[in-house]
Amino acid sequence: MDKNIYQQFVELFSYTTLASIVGTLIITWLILVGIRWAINTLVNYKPKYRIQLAQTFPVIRILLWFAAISYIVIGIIQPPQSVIYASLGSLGLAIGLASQDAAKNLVAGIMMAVSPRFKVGDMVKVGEHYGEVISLDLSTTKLHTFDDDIITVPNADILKMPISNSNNGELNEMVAVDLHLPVSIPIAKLKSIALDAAKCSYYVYLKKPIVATVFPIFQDDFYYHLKIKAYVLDVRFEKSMATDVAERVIEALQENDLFDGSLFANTQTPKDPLEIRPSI
Amino acid sequence: MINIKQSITELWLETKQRWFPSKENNAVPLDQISRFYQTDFYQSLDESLKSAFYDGPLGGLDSRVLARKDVDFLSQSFSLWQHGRNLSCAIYGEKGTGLSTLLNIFIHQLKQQNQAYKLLTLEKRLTDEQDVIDTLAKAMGLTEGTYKLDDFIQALSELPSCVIVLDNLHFLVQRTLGAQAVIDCLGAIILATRGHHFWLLGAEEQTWRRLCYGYRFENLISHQHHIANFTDSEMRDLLIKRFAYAGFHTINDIATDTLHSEKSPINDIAKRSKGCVELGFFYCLNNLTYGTKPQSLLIMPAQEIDMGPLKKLNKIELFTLAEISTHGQLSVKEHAGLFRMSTNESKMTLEHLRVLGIVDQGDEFHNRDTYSLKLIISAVVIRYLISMNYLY
Repeated sequence: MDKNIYQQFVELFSYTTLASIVGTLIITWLILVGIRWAINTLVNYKPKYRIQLAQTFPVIRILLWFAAISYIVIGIIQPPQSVIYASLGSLGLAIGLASQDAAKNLVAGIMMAVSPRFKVGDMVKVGEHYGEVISLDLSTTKLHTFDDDIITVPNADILKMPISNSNNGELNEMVAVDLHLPVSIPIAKLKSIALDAAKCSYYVYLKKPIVATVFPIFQDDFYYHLKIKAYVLDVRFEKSMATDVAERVIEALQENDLFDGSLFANTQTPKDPLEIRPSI
Repeated sequence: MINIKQSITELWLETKQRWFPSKENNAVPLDQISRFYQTDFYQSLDESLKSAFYDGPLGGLDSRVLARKDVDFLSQSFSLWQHGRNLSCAIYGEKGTGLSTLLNIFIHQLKQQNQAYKLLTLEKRLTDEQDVIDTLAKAMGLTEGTYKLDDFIQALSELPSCVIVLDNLHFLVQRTLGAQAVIDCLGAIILATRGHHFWLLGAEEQTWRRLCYGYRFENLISHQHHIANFTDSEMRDLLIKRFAYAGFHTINDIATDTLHSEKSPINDIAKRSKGCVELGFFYCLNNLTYGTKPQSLLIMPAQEIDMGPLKKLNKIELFTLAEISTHGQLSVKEHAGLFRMSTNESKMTLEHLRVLGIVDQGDEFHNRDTYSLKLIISAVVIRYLISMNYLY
């Protein structure tokens, strides 16, 4: 019986069948290249919709490969049931033994495509890494950090970890700018300057509200913790906006003789007197 | 020795050009548009034809600016105010949609009704509360520099009731510390006196959006009206009427009386101009020649605009254009403050944009130090900035 199945298996793969399989795979690959080119062209033409456009590719790719493989099996090879069962059994065993992690990542990739936790273009924090999602592949996800590093994270790990998504599909996102300042500055004046300074930054997305809060904190001495929450026009300008707003606030305080910058020279100040981080 | 890579590249480029011909070869470069009015061709046109492209309304010809809904909005709002409604008005729209014309029509109506009015055209950026009070005091015939806010509101309330038309609102936009105080002061004056005086404000669309997004300006104005862009048919009708006014009654051997159809040769130009009159004028001028018969014109199909120069701009230059469009104009000093750079760097940035033909420098009569978007391409540039997410 085993010999019979082997013979059937060999008969299935004639030169014509093999050529058809290779042809189907090449055509599928070319279609995917074409779709990616078309999406990239559209993204260049309409950058405002880059996130929405980019998120379509992972789904299209899975659907196309699924369709291609189904066509190869059902339309080209057309195996008898016995061969299908034998092949699936062998394949399952091989995959199960040899590529546990790869299979996990692949399944995770499919799950993420069906139920996305983030999209290409989102700013996310995965573990210790924070950056823009630049690709959502079947087995891995790539992040582009502000240090210009590309971080590759296996999809199986992403499913296990909590993910912080800063913009969730939108181009603008909230950025929090934290400053530690001396208590000698009047709070009302400090908040007024903070709000005004934030509005002066051309990176700030004015359609959404800007909020400034002040809390007293104690760490060796009393300080004010000023937190400015504003939306950045585009996630890619996140760091630029945070720096710009912080600098404008400090300059405005100095112009009003409210702050001479001595805090930064004081060794008793908090370890990170100017802390700028995205709100996540 | 045959360079295989080069051969393949050449073959690919040749095939690509044959199947997907590059539009850039046929497109009008951006700088050609901006310099068109200085060309020998334009200068060689006779004065009657040039008059068709006059940068302003031609009496009752431009029916679009007399669209009843725009004029009616002002008339009805004014009537409501006269009957005791406590309101103020604002009209806004893209450059070239007839904002100033609409204000002029309303003022003309006021004159006919012997209604007192004050036209206040802002000519500089208002820097602080006192500046707002002094500017308004001067316009209303009050003594400058003697009032604080409460006193000024009191003095304004004691003046005879009138219509106050405030134009050039872009001078209220500024990304500097204290900008909120300027808006708050003006808002307080408008809110406190709008029962006594009828306030009418006019602003370009991007300016209005910035004032609303940044300073919640819409809360100060009870009645707002958006002047819609020209539709394709309105633009087509306007161009045809203007040619007829200039004495050219035949275009492409078709009488202008029968040109009001979808197949009109001007239809293509009307579509491409996207509601911007200046762009429509440019397309007409760029594609017309005198016909063989007297008082006739030939108009060729319009070409696309090559946006290449805009695509090559860097982040700061694109932000600069966005800020110029909301501020109306920017001086080197204002640009330097806004972008936190030296005046030399600012000058270089603005001059680069001027050389590319995207912005205009003030002339000898106005401040030479200021730069504004070139009127003819401002609609195209603003649309590009919105699509690139630099404007919203």
